[in-house]
Amino acid sequence: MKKLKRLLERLLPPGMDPKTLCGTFITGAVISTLGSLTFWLRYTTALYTLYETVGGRSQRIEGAMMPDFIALLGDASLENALACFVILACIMPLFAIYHYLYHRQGARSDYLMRRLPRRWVWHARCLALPLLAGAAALALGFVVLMLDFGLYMLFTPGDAILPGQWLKIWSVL
Amino acid sequence: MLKIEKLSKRYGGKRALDDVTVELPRGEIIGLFGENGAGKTTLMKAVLGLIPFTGAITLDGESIGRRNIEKFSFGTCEHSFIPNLTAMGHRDFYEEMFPSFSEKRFNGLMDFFELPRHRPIHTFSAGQKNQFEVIMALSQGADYILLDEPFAGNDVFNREDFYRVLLGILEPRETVILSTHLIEEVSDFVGRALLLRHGRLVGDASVMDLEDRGLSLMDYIKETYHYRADRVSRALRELGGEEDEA
Repeated sequence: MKKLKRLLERLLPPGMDPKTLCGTFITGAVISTLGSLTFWLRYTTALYTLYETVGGRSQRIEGAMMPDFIALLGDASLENALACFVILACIMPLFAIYHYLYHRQGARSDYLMRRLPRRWVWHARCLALPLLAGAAALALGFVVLMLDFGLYMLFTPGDAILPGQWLKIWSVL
Repeated sequence: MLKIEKLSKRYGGKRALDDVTVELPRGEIIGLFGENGAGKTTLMKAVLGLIPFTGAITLDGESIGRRNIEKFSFGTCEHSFIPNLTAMGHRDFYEEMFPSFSEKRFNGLMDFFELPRHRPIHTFSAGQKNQFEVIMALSQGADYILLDEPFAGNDVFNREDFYRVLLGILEPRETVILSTHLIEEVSDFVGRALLLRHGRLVGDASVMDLEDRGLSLMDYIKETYHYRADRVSRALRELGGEEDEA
């Protein structure tokens, strides 16, 4: 844990506690993951509509088809199950602005950072973690997308799936 | 040798530096004097590449850049330390960034000024912050140590201690360029005086030459700035006259 903290500190402006950025990321990731569960609400609801109860027994409605995976995920708005991941990915780079401003809080440490022989160190320390966290948010969103898609394909009766689901995902992405 | 040639800088319409040309060899303590807004800070920032400028600044014939910037250190009254970092954190950071960093000098000066090593600098008093700023500038291992009003706000004992230490620790290759308003305090140990006025270099004299001419540094500065000794008495007379009339 100490090693990880030290590593994170090296990716941040000197003297900055990684807690704020990491805390924001973890909170955002948890909220995003919880938000992605809306897909399962929509999915289970849609799954039930494929069946009807006849004589106390549940049976498939003939010709009933499952909506597209991408439609269950939600349109390109805040209602999309993965929208929170995108929002998180957009918020994390804003920390870079905070990191640059950090060097003007209480002193002008930007004078020191700008005259380092390895001048890129200043930018690296301001940009690295916010960009990495943004990329991690997108990667996490992608993993959840793949997981949801896998489970959609697994639990949906094969003949109820409209063709070209995989391609439809990419057409939206 | 640090060479500044035809250095000019404008802030909007205001001319901060105007055609300044000067050569600063190693191994001197140079006082940089001038009233507020004369261009002292601007000159230092230009040398360090912190602001764009016109003209040329070279160190041993090479422009100041990535390869030779470590030859310059900077201590400023604006403070360039990292407030959330401890003194030891600064030491580690400087050691990593500046290969010539002198841990021996850092430890010596920290002990001398009795500064806490494990507290973030933002918890220091104003005087301690100034001292720490100077310690880092002196410990970086630079050939040119640029100090811009480093003791603004420090008491006289603090400053005297610093001057004594400075004289004791400097190596022959080190040059200190000290910008200050405290002319009389530094007149005993600066070897050369540069005078700026309205962005122009209006005076450049070695203190030894001045002594040969029977002039003190203060006399030289007053002479160069055409200081009118009767200015105060005249103003008081005029103000008194106004009061009488009222």
